[in-house]
Amino acid sequence: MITILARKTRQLASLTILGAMLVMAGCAHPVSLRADVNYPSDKTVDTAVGYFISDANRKLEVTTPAGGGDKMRYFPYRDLEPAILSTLGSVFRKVYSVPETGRAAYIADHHLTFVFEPVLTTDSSSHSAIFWPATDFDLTIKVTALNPAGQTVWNQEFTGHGHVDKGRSLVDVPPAKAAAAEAFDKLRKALMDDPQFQESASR
Amino acid sequence: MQRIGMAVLCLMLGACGAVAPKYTPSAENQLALRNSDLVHVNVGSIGVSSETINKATVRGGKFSTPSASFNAYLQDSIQTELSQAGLLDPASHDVIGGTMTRNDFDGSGMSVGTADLAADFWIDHDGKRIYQGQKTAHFEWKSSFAGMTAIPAAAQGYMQAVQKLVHELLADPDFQKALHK
Repeated sequence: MITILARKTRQLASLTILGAMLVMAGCAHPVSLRADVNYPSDKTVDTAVGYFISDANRKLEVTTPAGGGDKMRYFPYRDLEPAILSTLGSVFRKVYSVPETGRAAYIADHHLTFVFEPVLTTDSSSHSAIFWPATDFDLTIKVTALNPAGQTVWNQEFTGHGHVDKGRSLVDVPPAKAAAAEAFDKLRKALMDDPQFQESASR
Repeated sequence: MQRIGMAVLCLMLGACGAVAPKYTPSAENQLALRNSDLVHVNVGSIGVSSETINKATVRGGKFSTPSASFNAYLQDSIQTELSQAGLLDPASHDVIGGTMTRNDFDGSGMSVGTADLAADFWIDHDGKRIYQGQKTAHFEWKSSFAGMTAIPAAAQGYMQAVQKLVHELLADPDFQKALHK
């Protein structure tokens, strides 16, 4: 009797594990890419600029590899937009988000000198076969700057890579934070070093 | 084998504690603060209307925040937004205060999770009240049957609900008028 009970219990446990594996297999965990980018804005060029992120990109959810055969999903534009704003706000005095509709009128009304259009590309991976949080994250920010007439005046690409051995978080991505810090530092330096942006106050 | 099965079942369905992520500023809130020519401001304490405000669970486990309480998390959120916009000054004569009056959080849904938050906010200038407003926020997020997915989604969803509540305050024209340079 005891043997039969033990066998039934083992079967139930096996079924539970099998069921869990079926439910969790290839699971895409929701995470947030916190950039923690916060630059000082006390020495800015006295001009107004804008940045443009389409509504579709703001809603864009991407899925990239994580550990243990799992994946993670996140909203790169929504999560990193504050970092874009902080970066531009540390270089230019006023920064506006340019809307999709009425774009030309908005640029004219707010006297925007440049409009920056970022394109974000991400990838992730993990060395762990057991834990799902990613240990590595790559971020590429391709930025195009347009003048008020809509002509491209600047185009550059910035990359960042983050790696962690520990610090596994279930809700955010520590290597993404490091990757974002590296990429946005490069973007900020490029904006501060470029004469056409630094001299834009007199335009 | 039985122990492993129970552990896996626990992970699937939840029944473990969860913590909201550290507050991250939102782009909407930063835009509302950065382009409005506001004076520097300090953040006082955000209290609670009832002790039940600080009792929340998700999938049978305790739900908490990285701050000392849910009202402290709201207070830290406003501070974080102001700090990111370069507008936080602990020595300012203008002080934002408030009371959290609602903190309903439901991550039990198999497809949708919800949060309904509310707070009374005010600004005092040298002790004189110059702004008062009641703000509410409702936020929904995509949930899941599996606790391992639903619990982090609920934690993210809660932070977004707080971002939304803070936006109701920061984008209020009367709030901006009270702090205009």
